[in-house]
Amino acid sequence: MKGRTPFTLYGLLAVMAALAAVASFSGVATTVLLVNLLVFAALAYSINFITGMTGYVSFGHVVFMAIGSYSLAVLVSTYSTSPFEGIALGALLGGLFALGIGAVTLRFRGVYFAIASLVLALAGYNLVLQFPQFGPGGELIFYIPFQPLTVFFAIWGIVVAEIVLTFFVNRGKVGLGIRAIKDEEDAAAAAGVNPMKLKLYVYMLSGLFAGAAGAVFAWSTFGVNASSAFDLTFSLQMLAMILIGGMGTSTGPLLGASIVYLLYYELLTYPRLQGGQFLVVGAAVIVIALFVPDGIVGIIRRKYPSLKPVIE
Amino acid sequence: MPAVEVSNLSKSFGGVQALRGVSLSLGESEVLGLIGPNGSGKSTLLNVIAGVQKPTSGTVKLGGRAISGMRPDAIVKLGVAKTYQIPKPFASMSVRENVAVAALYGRRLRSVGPALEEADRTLAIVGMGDRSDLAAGSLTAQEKKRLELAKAIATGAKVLLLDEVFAGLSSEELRDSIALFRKMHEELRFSALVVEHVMRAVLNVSEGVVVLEEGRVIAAGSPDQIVHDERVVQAYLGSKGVGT
Ligand SMILES: Nc1ncnc2c1ncn2[C@@H]1O[C@H](COP(=O)(O)OP(=O)(O)OP(=O)(O)O)[C@@H](O)[C@H]1O
Ligand SMILES: [Mg+2]
Repeated sequence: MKGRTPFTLYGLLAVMAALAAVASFSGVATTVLLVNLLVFAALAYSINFITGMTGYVSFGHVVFMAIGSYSLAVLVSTYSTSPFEGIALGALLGGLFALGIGAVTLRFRGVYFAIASLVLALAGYNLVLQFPQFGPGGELIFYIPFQPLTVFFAIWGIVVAEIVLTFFVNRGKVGLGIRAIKDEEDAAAAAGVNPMKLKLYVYMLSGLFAGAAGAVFAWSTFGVNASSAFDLTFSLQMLAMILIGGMGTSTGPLLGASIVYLLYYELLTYPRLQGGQFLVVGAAVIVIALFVPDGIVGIIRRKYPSLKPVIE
Repeated sequence: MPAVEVSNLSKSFGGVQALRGVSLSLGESEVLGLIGPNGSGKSTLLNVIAGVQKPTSGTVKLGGRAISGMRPDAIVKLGVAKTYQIPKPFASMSVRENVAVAALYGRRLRSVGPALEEADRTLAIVGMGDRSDLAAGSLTAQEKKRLELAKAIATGAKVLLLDEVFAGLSSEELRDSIALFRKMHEELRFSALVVEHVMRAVLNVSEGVVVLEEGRVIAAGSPDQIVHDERVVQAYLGSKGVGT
């Protein structure tokens, strides 16, 4: 565990470097596709911090994404700041809300936490509609120059930060404690782990990065509106991504995000298949949940143990 | 000063009074056996001392300092560790990692490396060195019990609360385990409260015995006094006597 060469990290960073090269030297359409893909990856890494690592299912995770989207949209549309300030505020508020919410809801075990997080997302949606600051019907639109490459590097930086953090959290003291909590929370406490402290820490990271990703999402779509910002389908997709890729791992979210994104938005968008994406992704999730609970990373780990250091 | 001083401790679960004003004291390096019929409150007493459950009333002091009501992880860091009667290993993690968690957090180590080394030392002491890399979930019931013991020791605790770690062993295994326990006690000089049904284990490892019945202490004394105590023989040992 200690002193092992971090092949996984090098590999992931190499993939990220390749994506940066492709985005820089190809057309706008490709760059936009990669922005969308990385927004998904950023969200997958974000939910991975809480659900992947601890097993606490954050069904309403979209709420943190929405916090980020509105942070950026309000700053840019009302106060004409740069989008980067919007991302910073989205991350800050995402992290703070996660701390505040988690201090209460992380005390609930299992399905109660999942339901509490779902209720919060619904409450958030209705709350946004009450305040004129968030626009009529919760819709804010802004007009700023179209800069796909700038947006790309914003979300790219976020994903790189998530990859590095995931990797080192998993390897270190917090990672070992978190895995113990995931397996047997009471016994972890009886061994000296403070479960609340560790869960809050990863939930805070989770909220922070979902906020940042949500802000970039608003930037890339030049606005935000309540029904899509709080769309629970996003929560489900995030969960599908880490399930398919491999919960808690540092490779899984990027793998899962690529698969779900490409299936959902690129391959299956022919008119004949409208709605079919749900079926395909849903079926994939069920098969994986039934037969390989640790996702694609789990399959590779079992079939090719020698690849372990490269994919974990 | 005693290591642990329990005063007038009570605990109820809804209508069930599991502990009714239990008092006892455990000296430095003392090994105290805790016996009693099923449901007499032995596990509950350990859970309350360890902070896993909150007392309804009464206090627990560690070296003179009140610890009742504190979180279990805080109590472990002060030096009190318990094992679970029904083992609760971190099933997906290796045996070594299981013990490393206890060393890392119980001893407040900074990083994983030293915790793994501590885990290796502890596993060697309890004779599980050859099991290090197995997933804890795949161990046999007996090995899981021993892993519980390894985790408790790895926290660096000076006070061990052991819940039936000798249960279910064959005669030879029991002999080995008792020898192992004595050797560990010799080396580490911990205090221990040892819950046990196996009389041979209780009589062999403990200097004193406390008997619980329906949440009350009905007798306390040396093993020899206890096996001849009229009330104990009636309440607990029944007509079977103290054979094994
Ligand atoms: N979490 C709980 N909720 C409700 N009742 C409980 C709980 N834990 C224990 N009890 C009850 O408290 C009483 C004491 O239980 P405890 O487990 O402490 O007994 P014990 O002496 O350890 O028994 P055994 O020898 O069977 O392990 C029993 O009546 C039990 O049913
Ligand atoms: Mg018991």
